[in-house]
Amino acid sequence: MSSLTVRHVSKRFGNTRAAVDVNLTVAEGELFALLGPSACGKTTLLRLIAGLEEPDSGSILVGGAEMVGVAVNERPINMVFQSYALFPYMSVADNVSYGLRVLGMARNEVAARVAEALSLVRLGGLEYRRPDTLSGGQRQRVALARALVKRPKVLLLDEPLSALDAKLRDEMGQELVRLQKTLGIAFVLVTHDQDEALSMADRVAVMDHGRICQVAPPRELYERPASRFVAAFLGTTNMFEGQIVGREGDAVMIEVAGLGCLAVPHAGDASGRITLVLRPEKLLLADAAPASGPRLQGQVRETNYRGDHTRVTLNTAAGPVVMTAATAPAIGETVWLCWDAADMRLLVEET
Amino acid sequence: MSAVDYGRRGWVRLMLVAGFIFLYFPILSLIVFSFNDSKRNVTWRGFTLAYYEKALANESLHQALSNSLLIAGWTTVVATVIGTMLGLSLQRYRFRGKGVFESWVHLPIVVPEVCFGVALMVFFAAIRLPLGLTTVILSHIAFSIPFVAVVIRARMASFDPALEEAAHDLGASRWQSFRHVTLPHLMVGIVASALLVATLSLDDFVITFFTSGPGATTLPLKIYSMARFSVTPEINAASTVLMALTVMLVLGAVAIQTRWRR
Repeated sequence: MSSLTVRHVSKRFGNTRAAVDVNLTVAEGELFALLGPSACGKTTLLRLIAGLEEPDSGSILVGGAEMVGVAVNERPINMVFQSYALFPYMSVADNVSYGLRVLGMARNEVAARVAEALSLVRLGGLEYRRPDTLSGGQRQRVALARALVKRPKVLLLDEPLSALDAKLRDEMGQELVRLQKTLGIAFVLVTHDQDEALSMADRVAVMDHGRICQVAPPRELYERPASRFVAAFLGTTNMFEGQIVGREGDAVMIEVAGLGCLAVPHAGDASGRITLVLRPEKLLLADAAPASGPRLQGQVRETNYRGDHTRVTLNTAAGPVVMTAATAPAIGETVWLCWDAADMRLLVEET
Repeated sequence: MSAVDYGRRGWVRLMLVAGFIFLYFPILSLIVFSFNDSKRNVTWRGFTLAYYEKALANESLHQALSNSLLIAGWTTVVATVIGTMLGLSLQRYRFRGKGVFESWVHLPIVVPEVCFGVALMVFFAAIRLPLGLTTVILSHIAFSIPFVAVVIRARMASFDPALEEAAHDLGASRWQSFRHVTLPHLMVGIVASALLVATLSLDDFVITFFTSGPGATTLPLKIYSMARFSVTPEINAASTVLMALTVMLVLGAVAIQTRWRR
């Protein structure tokens, strides 16, 4: 059962295409992330779902009911804004209760629901504080409580962690996930931060120029990117251009300049030009040439210490290659790189 | 960020003191001599409240003061409402010809008052509206609106539009979100511009001079006509009252603004 369906939604602002024939389905109780670089249309898509923008065409369904044409204040959807948008002249309790009071709900019921929402986000005791006396993390929780108190069918979050510092971001992210699992409400989260999307979401949609590039669970998205854009946007990656030269059982034979001829597991009958994707953490260092399997010789050009690992850049016959190592080799040293054939991923170029 | 501390340099301090004397000495002497027990404003002869009694007993001064207050009252209410709506729509909406409209709207601020006054007088003659209280009120409203619009726009510039969207998203109608979220933010600007309009209207001379008629003499006009005969301490007393009124309005504005900020 899907709680949110977006069908063929398009939206233009002048000459900018903010959404191009977007199709999405978010399941009930799913934490769904919209990931993309700035100005890729992810925030516009969120605002379209909220009703703050009207689509030029297409349809948005929540629990089967059409939302296009329904006013913002009539939709069973609530949003946590990037700036939190807390009402500065109201106390925490007044902020949280606003959405109930404006509907004319009875006082004692309002009080009960506000108390419940505040304890849900662990903010009990701060009822009478003004938003400007709260820390960033506390403001975030107030914004969250204010939206959740309405018991929406879908909760939208616009860059919810971007205003927090690194350590708090991690904590708050995990807390959001726990909260979402407890409540079972579908969350749609917009972010430009791949770590946030990968660590929190059940499924991620990568967007670029108003289009959805790929929708997949985090692991699949990272390990089996569908396009060069997705591969490059998620983390660091090595990409080599080459050509398919034949097929051998479950694998295809590819020819890449500097790498030679390789057998790569690949389903489907592919031919023509390809891009070989190889993640830095799949590469291993060796002093001598490995006996079998894919390998590449290189000279260490640069090492970059990152605390829990070291990023090593090597010059090889196939061009510069990036890999992560537990201990850094000396600069200028000649080493061998090897990897598992199953860790290679082919992107077949469309003709 | 703190301002550069120029106060430590001697000549800067000297300029500051000179500036203050230049600005405030005439006003101070006006107030002091309103208590002078002499018919002339030249030498100090001792303290008296006689001229205040005289001014307060002067029926035509009474009339002028009540005219001024009436005009200021109507102008403040009408100009603040229209100016606020104007400022909001200029801040918020895009429409064809907005640029042209904007510069035309702000014209009354820069047009010389004499020209504006003559233009209004000619306009009222053309539409055959006899000069009187009505024409003065209409003129004051006309020149006050742009000032209100400017203050409101400045205030709205610091407003996060997401606040109104958030209220709307939480179930408030457009009008409710405006009333609960935008208006409280705007209130400081509305109060400030209302008091600004009241002071502008209370002490306007030039435009009032051209657009007032019989029975519509305001306090500044009355003081001017009295001064043409002779400058007696009675005029000092009347001017001091007018000044006290304006200062009270300004202090009120400051008090309201500081209380709102907290």
